[in-house]
Amino acid sequence: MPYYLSLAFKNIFRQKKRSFTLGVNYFVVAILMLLLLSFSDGVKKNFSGNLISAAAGHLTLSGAVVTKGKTLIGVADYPTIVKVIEAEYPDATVLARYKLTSTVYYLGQSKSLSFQGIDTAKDTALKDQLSFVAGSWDDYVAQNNGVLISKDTADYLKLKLDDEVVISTRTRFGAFNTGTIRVKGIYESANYFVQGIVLCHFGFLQALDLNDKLSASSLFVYFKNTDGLEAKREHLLGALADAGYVTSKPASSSDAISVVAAATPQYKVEGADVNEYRLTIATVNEVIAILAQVLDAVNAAGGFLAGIMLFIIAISIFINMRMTINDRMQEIGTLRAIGTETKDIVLMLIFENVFLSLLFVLAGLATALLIIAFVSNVLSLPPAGILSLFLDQGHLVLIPTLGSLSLILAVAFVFTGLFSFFPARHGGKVRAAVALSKTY
Amino acid sequence: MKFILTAGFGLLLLTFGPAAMAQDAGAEGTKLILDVQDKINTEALDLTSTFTLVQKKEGEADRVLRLKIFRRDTASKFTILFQYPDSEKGKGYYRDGDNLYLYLPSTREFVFRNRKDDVGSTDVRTDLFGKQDLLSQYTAKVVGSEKIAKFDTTVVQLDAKTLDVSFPIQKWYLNKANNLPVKVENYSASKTLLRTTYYVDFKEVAKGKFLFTKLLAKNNLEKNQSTLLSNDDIVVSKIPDYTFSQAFLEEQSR
Repeated sequence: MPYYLSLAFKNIFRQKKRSFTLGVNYFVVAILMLLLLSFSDGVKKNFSGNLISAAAGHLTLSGAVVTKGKTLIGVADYPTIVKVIEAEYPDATVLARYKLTSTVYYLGQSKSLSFQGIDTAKDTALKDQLSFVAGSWDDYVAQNNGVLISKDTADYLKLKLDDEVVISTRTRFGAFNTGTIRVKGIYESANYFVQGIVLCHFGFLQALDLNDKLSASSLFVYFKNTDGLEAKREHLLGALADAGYVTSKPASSSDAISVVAAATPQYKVEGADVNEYRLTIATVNEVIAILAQVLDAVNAAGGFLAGIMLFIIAISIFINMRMTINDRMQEIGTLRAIGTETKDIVLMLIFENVFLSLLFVLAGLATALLIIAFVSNVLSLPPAGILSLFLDQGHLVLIPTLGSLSLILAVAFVFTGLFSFFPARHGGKVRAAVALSKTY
Repeated sequence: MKFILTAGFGLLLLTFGPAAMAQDAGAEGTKLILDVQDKINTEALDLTSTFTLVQKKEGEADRVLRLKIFRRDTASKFTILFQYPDSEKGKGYYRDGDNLYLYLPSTREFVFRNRKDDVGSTDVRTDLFGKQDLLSQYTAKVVGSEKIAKFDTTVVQLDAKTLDVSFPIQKWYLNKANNLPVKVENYSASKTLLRTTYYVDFKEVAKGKFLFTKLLAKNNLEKNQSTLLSNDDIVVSKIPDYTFSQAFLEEQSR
């Protein structure tokens, strides 16, 4: 190790007050950046995890049936699609869902609610997302018109276990239909995508919507892992096209969200000769792309804040170094007189700052990790509304990755090196005789 | 021999009797509905009137809406302008055949709506304002007689030909004295009564042409929720063609 490196390290502690003042800035920036990046990674993971366990698959299929130019939303002949997918990917799990919005009438109160019909024999992952206040999953499974409702909905409509409720919906064809549901479970869930949903039986909702037994609202496809989703989607688009479907990919992130929501597309007049079964396949990455954009914006705002702090640090480095060089002119002169080269003087001055920054950045990162550990494990928040997007079991999800830690250290290293270089070069260029003759 | 003839006749009656009766009920129902439509559809007339809707909901203050209606049944068109309250002023509907548009002055846009839209979230539907063409969507049959208040009525059941209608089943209670509706019940596909409309009063606006002047629409699923509608200031003079256009709605909202 060159001698000037150890000298540079020792020099950090010569001007303790000055070093501390500069170091605090690094410390704060490190905490801020790690919390921000951990939050961003945590939300992404939590969001996609919750989404996949409740409201979307690794691939999600939605569709439309066009008959003589008239479009009805829904996936037609879904058992055929399931067969095609299972033939192409035997390890894949395909789940069919039926969704509709219906108004519930009870004791003079009415409320429009989102209903989701599931195949209770296959679609059991949702069970783990629910914590039952009353009733049970098994009671719900046992009764065809049995439903699970959220505690908030039950409180709003003053519903109790085993209450029978009339629901009215405008079916996909336009006609109103009514049915009677029986409350077989009241739940709470920390998963944002489950909250407020009324869980029904697939067949019950299909019949309520006056639809045929081969129709579904959407299909969720799950693979062993999320590797190569894009390629798998491309392959399935081809296989389903061969099976007679008009297949497509969502054109944008909002289209991808429409696929997951199985939402009605905008009004569009088709020619009377158009008769098609249409399918759109979205990957989970496309669905969360909008979230990623929002998080990128949040990160950019945080980065901007950190940038301002770094700019202040840059000015501090510059002033500090000029003062340090002036204070230590005799020392620099002596080093030059005993044969130390310009580049070694420059490197010594640069490394003084780099070591200082790394020291305080490491301290900042350690503190940030402690804060993250506290927030993730001890601090508990109520999982209500939009806040639950960020929570896992009531705790804020913050994921500090090795990448985030390395990034912050690298930024501190490069930034400090860069902004120390110019004043250091000025110090390094001073000739020995000039430096030794400087008196104050 | 007599026994065989009697048994044969009885068998014939049992086999074809119900079908023949059903055919009769269907023919009679169709005739009655055609007659009602002839009376309440006002082809050859332009109609202008003011509707006042009072929506009553349990536990809430009455909500009042006033609308100006321009109607031309010959062309299957109508224009509705919201006049009261101020929060709704400038809104309007324009119907041209099967196309119904809602104009929103706040965004200055026309929104394509289902022709069965509820007017201003009340229990009154837009299809009530225009020409009725029930037999293109329903098959009719007489299902009995009933007394509604002081009126003797014939009950005609309408069953939807396709599910592209709001109410797959309707029952029209027609006054035996003048064949005008006294009550209309709307049912869901699973035969739950959803809505009841009581036609309280009619006005003869031309010879053999009638327009309701008072109507009560009751929501049978929402407890104690109903909308009372009064139809006043009825004028039958010619309406300028421009009134039946989107541009007219935009102009009136300014």
